[in-house]
Amino acid sequence: MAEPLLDRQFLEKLERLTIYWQKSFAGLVGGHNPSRFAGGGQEFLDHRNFHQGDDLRAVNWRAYLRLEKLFLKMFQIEPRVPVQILLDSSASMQGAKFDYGRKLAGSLAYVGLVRLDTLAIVPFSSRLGEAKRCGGGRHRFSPVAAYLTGLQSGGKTDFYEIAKEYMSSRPQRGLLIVISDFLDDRGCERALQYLADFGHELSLIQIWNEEDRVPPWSGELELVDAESNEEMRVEFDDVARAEYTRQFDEYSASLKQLALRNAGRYVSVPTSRALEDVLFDDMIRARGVA
Amino acid sequence: MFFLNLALGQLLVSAAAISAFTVALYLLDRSRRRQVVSTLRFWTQANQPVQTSRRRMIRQPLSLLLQLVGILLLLLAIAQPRIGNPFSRPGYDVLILDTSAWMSARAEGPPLIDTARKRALQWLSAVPSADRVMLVRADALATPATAFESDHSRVRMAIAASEPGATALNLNAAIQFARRAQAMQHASGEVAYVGSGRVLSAQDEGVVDGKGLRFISVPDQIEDVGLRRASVARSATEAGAWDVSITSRNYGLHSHAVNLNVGFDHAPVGARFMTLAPGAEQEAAFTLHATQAGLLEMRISPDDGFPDDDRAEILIPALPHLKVTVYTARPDVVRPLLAANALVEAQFRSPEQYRTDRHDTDTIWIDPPADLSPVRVMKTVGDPKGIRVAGLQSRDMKLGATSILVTSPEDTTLASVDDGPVIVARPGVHKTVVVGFDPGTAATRYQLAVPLVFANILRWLNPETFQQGGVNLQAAGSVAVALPDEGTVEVRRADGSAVPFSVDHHTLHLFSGSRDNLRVVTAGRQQLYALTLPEMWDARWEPPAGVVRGLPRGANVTSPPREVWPWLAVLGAACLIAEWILYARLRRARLTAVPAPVQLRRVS
Repeated sequence: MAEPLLDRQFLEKLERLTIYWQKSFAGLVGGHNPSRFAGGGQEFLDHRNFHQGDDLRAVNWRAYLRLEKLFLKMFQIEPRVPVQILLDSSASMQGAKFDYGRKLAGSLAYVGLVRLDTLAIVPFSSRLGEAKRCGGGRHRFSPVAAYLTGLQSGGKTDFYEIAKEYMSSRPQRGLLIVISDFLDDRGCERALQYLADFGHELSLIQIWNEEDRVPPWSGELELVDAESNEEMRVEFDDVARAEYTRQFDEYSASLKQLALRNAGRYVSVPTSRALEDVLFDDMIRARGVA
Repeated sequence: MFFLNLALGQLLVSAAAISAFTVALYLLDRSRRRQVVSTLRFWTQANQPVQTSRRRMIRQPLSLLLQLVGILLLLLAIAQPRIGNPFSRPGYDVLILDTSAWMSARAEGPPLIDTARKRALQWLSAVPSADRVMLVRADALATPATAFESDHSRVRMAIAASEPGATALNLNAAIQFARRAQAMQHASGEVAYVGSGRVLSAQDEGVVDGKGLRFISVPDQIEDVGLRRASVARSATEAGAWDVSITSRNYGLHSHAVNLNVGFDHAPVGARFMTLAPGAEQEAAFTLHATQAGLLEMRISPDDGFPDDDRAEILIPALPHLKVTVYTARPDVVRPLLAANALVEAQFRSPEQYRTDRHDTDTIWIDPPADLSPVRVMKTVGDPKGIRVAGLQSRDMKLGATSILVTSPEDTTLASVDDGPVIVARPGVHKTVVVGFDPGTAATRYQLAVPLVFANILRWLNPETFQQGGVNLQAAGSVAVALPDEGTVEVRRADGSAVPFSVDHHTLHLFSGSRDNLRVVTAGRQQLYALTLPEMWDARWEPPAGVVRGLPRGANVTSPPREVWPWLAVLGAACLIAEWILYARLRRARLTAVPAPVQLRRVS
């Protein structure tokens, strides 16, 4: 029997969490995140002038008796904004990073299901994969876990194509959680900026191995790119290693800057770190969950 | 320096092979490797130009040097080199310390054993410290006190704990033992004997050669006159008396006049004044009248340098008595027969006084009336001839009127004629013997067989009373006992434990290494042996040719080859650890160390 994606005890711990976002999105009624958009909610939001066709049940009759003008009470709607989880399934994620990403995506999906959010898990490499939509409570988690377990990694990452395809196929703005190593040779900063400009709230989770950040090898190396199979010969020593690490850290810092600049959040996750620590420490500190 | 485990050629070949292997591993470890990475993005920026010409070059010479030096040092440690002369193999020496009984003698100063211990320690201090030494304590037996010890302090402690024994020295056997011990080690060494050289004349081993033998003599100009042996036997002529025979010997170089005093339970028995020439023995005989048990003490005075053989005590057992009640109509006739033996205490009564409840002794019935006889009388015959007694048959003996007795199954017939039993013995708590004729009649009074008949009757009643035996005092060591009787032999100590022995041509041989009391029991005979005298020497040992005499001159400070392999092992390990710390551990630490997070500036 295959090992479950997430064990029951860990899922029970996750029920304390809530996926958190800052922006208000126009969407369906429901959910737990307040919105500045008025609608048929329960909480009072504001008054506005009555216009023809408005619901008479929302007229503030007390104000009319005192001021002899019709004012309409507006109520704060609680929209159900779809939470999109983009999971990088490219070849560079192969191995521990992809397993870690699947578990992280499953954990966030479970958190959303518990809070009755609507979620979509979308794998991607050079193209968007078939999305898995889910919602309606924790009992809908089993299909999500099975879907994540069945995912395979492979292909080349192309954030430009992904951003274009995503914006054209999904006009609904919402919270966009991107789980990836963001190791695109062409860079992914501009593509992510497009998504932010489109109105999505970005939550970037960068997963990396220790050898992605500090390669342990020394001497003469023949490097092969896992996605493009491109080869490169390098003479690698401690000085080059330090330079490599510095470049990696700068790239991670640029991703963090991009996320924060667009009112999003960024979490750097080494695969050596426990998933529970990431969710209950790093994500909470970055206000990705609450 | 020499190598114990590897020859120099083997060492060099091994070092060359391992060095080549290490260098090959080093170069292989630093050769080009193919790695699959997630992206080439950062590699491009951190890339250094490839210099293929440097591939086979040593880029960390100190690392390789440390590895090579460390491995070579470990290899040298395995070779176990030693600094010193390779031919100075440690000797296996044997120290034979004389612990015979004579070593407790003293002239005016300390006893001989103290001088021997002192000489032995002097010899031990002169032995090369690398030599292994075995201590053998020698008396009649050679007993190893230690194994071949390289720690000489243990030998010193064993020397200090050595005490004189009870037997004489068998030096040739001790030397042969030492030689065999050296041969088992496949090593040579010195055999040093420390003692006075007083040995038994009969040496078990053959003559030894003097090669590798050292004689460190202990002077013993000591005058000694002592007890040699003593024997106490029942008197053959006088009942209730013991014949005591004591032999003394002068072991000194001068004549001595001594007094030999003998006492029994603090009462004097006798004394002799003797003048003994050097090496002479003299025997003194005494008669001891004692039926009760007691302690027989014999002492030679004045005291001399060896007091152990000047005084001895032996326990004389009590003489057993036979109490018997004789029912006879004519006690005056029978009384002389029984009164002749002092060990028999007879009480005479007439047959009419017989009562069964008055029996507290054995009984003898002489020609009882048919109606009172405890054994039924079959008939009375006139003058039967040809009486047959156990071990005796007399056809001419005339018995007169004799009652023929009827025996029951448990009865024993002691004498019979052609018509039937005439003397019948009946066992029981108190034994009963019925004699069917009167030995006091005119027909039997002067028959020679009558006393023998009564002797048989008394022996049957209580055999222990008439058992032969005696007490012998002699020295510990080898004991030889003549066995006149056939049958089983039993030798036991005073506590009842059995003593091993051998019998050869009617002579029993046994050995007792310490003072002991033994009991030798054969059929009808019991001999007690008090082996409480020290076994004395018979002669002075003559060292064979080639024997080195005296202590070695000066202390031998030859030091053994020094072991250097521990230092080499430590240095080799230190080199490898240093290389690991400098190149492996720190490199790994640099790889795993997470740098401080990049400080980001929030862009508002």
